[in-house]
Amino acid sequence: MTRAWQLVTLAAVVALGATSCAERAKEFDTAMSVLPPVALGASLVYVDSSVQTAYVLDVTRPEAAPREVALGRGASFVARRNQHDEALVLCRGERGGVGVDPQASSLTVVSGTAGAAPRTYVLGSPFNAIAQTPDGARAIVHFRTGEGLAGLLFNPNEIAIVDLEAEPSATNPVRRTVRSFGGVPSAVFFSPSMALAEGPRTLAVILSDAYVTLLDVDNADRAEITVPLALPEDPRAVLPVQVLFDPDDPTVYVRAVASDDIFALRLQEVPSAERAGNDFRPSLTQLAVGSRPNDMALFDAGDGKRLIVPSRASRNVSIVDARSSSVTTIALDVPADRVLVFDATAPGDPELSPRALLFTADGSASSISFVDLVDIEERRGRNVETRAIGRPIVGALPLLARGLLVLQHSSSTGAPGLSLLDLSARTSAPIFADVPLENAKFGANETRIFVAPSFGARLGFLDLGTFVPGEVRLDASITAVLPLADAPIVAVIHGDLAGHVTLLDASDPRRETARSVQGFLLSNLLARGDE
Amino acid sequence: MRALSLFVFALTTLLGANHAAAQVPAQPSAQPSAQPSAQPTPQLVPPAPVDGAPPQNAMQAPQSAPPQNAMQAPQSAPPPNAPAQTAPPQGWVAPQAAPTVASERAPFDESDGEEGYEDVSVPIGLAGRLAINATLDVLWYLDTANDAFARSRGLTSGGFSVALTTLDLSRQLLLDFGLGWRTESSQTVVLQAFNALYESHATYVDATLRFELTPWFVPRARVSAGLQYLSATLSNNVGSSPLDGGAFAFVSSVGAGVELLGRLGAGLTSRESRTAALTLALIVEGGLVVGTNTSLTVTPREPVDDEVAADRLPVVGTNIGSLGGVAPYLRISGALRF
Repeated sequence: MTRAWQLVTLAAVVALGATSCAERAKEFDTAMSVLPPVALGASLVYVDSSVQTAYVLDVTRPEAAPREVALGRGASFVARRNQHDEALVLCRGERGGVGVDPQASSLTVVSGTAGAAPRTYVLGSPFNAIAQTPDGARAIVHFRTGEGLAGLLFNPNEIAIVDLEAEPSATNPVRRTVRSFGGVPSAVFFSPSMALAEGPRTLAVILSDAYVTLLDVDNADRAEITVPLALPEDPRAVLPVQVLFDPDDPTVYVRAVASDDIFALRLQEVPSAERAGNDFRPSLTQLAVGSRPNDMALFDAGDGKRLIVPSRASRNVSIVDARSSSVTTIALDVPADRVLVFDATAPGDPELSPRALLFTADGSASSISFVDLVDIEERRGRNVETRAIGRPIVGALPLLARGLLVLQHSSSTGAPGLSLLDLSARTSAPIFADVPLENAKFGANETRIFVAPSFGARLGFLDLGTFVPGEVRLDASITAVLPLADAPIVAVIHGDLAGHVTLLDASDPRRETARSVQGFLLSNLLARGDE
Repeated sequence: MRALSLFVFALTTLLGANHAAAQVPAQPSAQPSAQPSAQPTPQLVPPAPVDGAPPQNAMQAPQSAPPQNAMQAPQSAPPPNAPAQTAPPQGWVAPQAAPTVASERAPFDESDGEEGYEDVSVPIGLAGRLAINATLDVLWYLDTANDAFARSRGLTSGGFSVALTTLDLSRQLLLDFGLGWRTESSQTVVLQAFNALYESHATYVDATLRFELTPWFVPRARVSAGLQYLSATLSNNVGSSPLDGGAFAFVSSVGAGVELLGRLGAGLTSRESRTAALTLALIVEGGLVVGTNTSLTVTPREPVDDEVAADRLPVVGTNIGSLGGVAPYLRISGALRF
């Protein structure tokens, strides 16, 4: 072999060896991390945080490849934007490391409509929770205790107020820190439009350990108002857990764990002359409702709003007039920790009146109590009627437009299944199941309820007009049911890591018309090394 | 399987063609021919092969056409620098209709004290030697898409091919046409969850130009083109059906290398070596494979049971992307040529 040949051969070997030694892209070795999907109008949104991608699957065109939307790093939460065909994806960012650049946290709005560009709001801090107004116009991103807080230094009371109707900018989102008494926010609730002095506005109520913070989200530059729920020397952990709003007589009601009281914050007008910022000032009233209230609901008694508060420990229900702070306590035959207020007729009473249903949803009781709320303070226990359901209740799904409540029963303490409770007739139609039921969802037009078993590949459904049940046999075990709002389709989610959805005709769910989409989370898998 | 069937069909066809070509020299001759068992002419007939069988391509005197690869007397005048050919050997019967003659150095003549060729005049014409190759290829794919199926981009490929030396372009230059089949496979874990398996079967035709530089060292260049079937399987162990996909792609390659030859038969002269009955070759070749980008769509595997398969819900698969087909390669082949 000549020297030239030797050199050529050597060069070729070195070149090929260098090529073969190249490590493959790390994206191929990264484990998938897929968040539970959410249903938009006519699409499903899956988020795989390992590849910073949201997959938007158009259920009306399942043969089309899922649309891929780039996200920031560390996607941790996805939810549908209220009243919109969009999904909100919260990404916690990247702290950085060897070979990994740090990245700020962000909130990305992913549209269910093809062609709509995503909007990404840079948040800055690695928030781990998000709350949005009922109309989806605004969101508050915040820290929540106990959910993977990370960072060398972080301020748990920092929040970001995002105007979701506006494009991202230097002033959107607004980052600020709410006043703290040492606690960390646990939840954020938004009010409906409240009748305040300077006009109707939305308030945010931030719940923290032993105090709540009121924030005018329409005027984010105004100072927040912090209201302690316990005295500094009080050793109890008074943790607020539930908030109700009376928008007409602007009042915020707060229920807290470890407190026997309901806290009523009346938002009083601040005189113009004294107004330096907010146009309201809360006035705190503690309403004693007995031992450990478990739930609360507001109803209109004709002469003003009342609170109805069940207490399981004291086995009674309290009716509270917030204006007078008067409390009427009514004993119950069966303990209750949940209350549902509805307008309906009743047997022997054709009047459409406010009524309440009291029940326990932890599987400990199989009876329920109906309470007629008209003249309840005078008639007291005479307005209470107890009905036996026959099986312990573990869940409830109201369908007030049809005057129905779907009660879910447990399998460990009795036969699994459902009961369809007619709120007017106060009768229940039992529907038995041969396997425990995991979740139940109404179809988009609320003519059917779809129930997934905790194991197995058969999807149950119930016609809410005729109460006739049915089932569809599918090809894989079911993990969730997601009705689509804008398409007559029910998406049945299976547990395949590669992505597996069965699409059913919501109006006529049959195996013959069903079809599956599979593997879509591996869409463009081969291109991941290019990134 | 489709590719294998195609290969078997092509191989059968090619062997049949070679068989037909091999019959040409065996046609009855009106002139004395090289028949060792009857009236041997030692001056003209090369030694019998080791196995004693009549040598293919032995010197004969065909009536109409010379045998392929046969040493033949030139019709035209030899070149001035070919003294060994100035006088035809005694008893040599010149063909009646010799083809165009090229005057070159004959291979494997070491009379000048070094490896080389003696000057002989040889005809340009049909050859007819068959080679069976077993190949081992190492391909280095340049496209990162292949990383999904292997931890490195070097894939090992094996295959077989048959080649027919059809043309002697000159005394040292040969042109082979061949048909081959090549398969490659790789498997790895991807996304820490899926077992990713990649397989391909390629059937190709190729043309190889070989330059017999020395009796044992033959540089060569090869081009090929063919059809490749790629398949991918992604499966995990959580009970869901594996996802399968496959697609056809055009594939071609160009490469160059060398053959190291070993010819069976002791004491062969240059002429004899060229027509030896059996030649072993070790081929080392490098080059570039260029294939079309192949888009792969995977769908759940059909159940084995027909009834279950028919019962299954219609499934929409997903496109997992495209595999690039450009890859430098290093091929090591063993060839048996006869």
